[in-house]
Amino acid sequence: MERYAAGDDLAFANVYDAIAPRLYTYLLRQTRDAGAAEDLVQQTLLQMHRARGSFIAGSLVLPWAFAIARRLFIDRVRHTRRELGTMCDAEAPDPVSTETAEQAVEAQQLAARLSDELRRLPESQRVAFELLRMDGLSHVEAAELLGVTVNAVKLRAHRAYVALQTVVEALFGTKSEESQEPHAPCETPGGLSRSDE
Amino acid sequence: MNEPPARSRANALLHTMTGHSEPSPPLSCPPADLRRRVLAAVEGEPSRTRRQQQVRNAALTLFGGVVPLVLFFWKGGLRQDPRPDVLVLETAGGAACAAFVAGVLAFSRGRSMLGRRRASLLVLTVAAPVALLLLKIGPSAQFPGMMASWAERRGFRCLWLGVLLAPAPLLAVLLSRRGTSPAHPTAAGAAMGAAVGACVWVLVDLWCPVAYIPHLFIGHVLPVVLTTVVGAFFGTRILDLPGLRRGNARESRG
Repeated sequence: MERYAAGDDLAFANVYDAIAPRLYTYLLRQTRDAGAAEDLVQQTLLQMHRARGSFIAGSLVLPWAFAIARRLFIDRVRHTRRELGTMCDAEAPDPVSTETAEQAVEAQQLAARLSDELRRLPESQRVAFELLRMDGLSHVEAAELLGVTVNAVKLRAHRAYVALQTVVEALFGTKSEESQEPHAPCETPGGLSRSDE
Repeated sequence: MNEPPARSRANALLHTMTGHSEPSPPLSCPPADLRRRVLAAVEGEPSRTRRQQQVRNAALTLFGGVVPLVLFFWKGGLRQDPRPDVLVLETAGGAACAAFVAGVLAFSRGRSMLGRRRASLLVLTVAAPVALLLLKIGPSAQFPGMMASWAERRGFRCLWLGVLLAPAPLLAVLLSRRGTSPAHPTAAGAAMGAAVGACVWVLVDLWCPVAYIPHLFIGHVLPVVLTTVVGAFFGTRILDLPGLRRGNARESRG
């Protein structure tokens, strides 16, 4: 992005390659509509292109891109009056695709429960959780996007995790394995986080 | 492991959702033709490079600085009498320092493309007029008679001067930051308005010797409040992303 802001037009292809899959995944989950997600990805990247002259050297690119995408998504939702979805069942990972129909139904029900629980969370917790765990932003990136401290992001995501974990425990009566450390840092491998990427 | 299958799947699902079972969240690949479309759209729409943007901002800064100064001197410039030199230095100097700090905080975005946090901007918006008022009243109270009532100076001339001086710099700073605040354009615009109001306060303070408190509220504080409100109003329209459909410009930061 730094090279692009400085006038290297060819660098935009690199910006696209680094950002577009992240944006597309995020917007697909938000819109549940591949066409809408594509449209919003295009608009987001065009907005970044228009604002390249004002790009601050050394600043994080991903929170900026996500903020633009989020703004465009909200704009779109308000005008089309579509219900904002936060969890896309169709996009949810399917860990039981090879199992029996009964198990698949069971898993679908469980996914729905978790989705409902996620939707019921306070927006601040839900958004922090989604940005960290589903969109793969680092704590620093999510904090910048949300305009809060890194610790606040960790706390919100932790609370969301605990709430979801409670659902699983309520369903099965015992504490799930691997649930002891929801607070571990979740740095995003391969994420575009610096302007020189 | 004798874990019940349903529970095992629940754990798997939760951990997949939370990213604990994978090194990174799964990414959906955008269609191949999207890349071509985006690159074609970008190619067909020229945008300013950083150098071009800097030149434009410099021109806007010059415009925003020169126009109020010209108007200030056209309206008479410094009017010291009956204030002692030291009082003018203290009040205008204090206000200039406050305006400088407000300007640095409001006009720049720090090291983030999303600008400063909304809470910081709101604190700045509220603190600027309060600080300016205290910096005017404090030194003036040290000099006998400086805060006396002036029956013929209710503050409307100062208000008019403030209203006259503020539009050019406010327009300049808003245009120099056009489309750069997708997260909280209204708060950013309000903070810019407050900072411009603080700069205008310095000139009004040089022009007006009155420190009578009701006069200060009408003639000195009110212009800052007005520029803040106007900054918030136009911030929503100018600082937000271009091309959004109007009437729904609510701030999107969570």
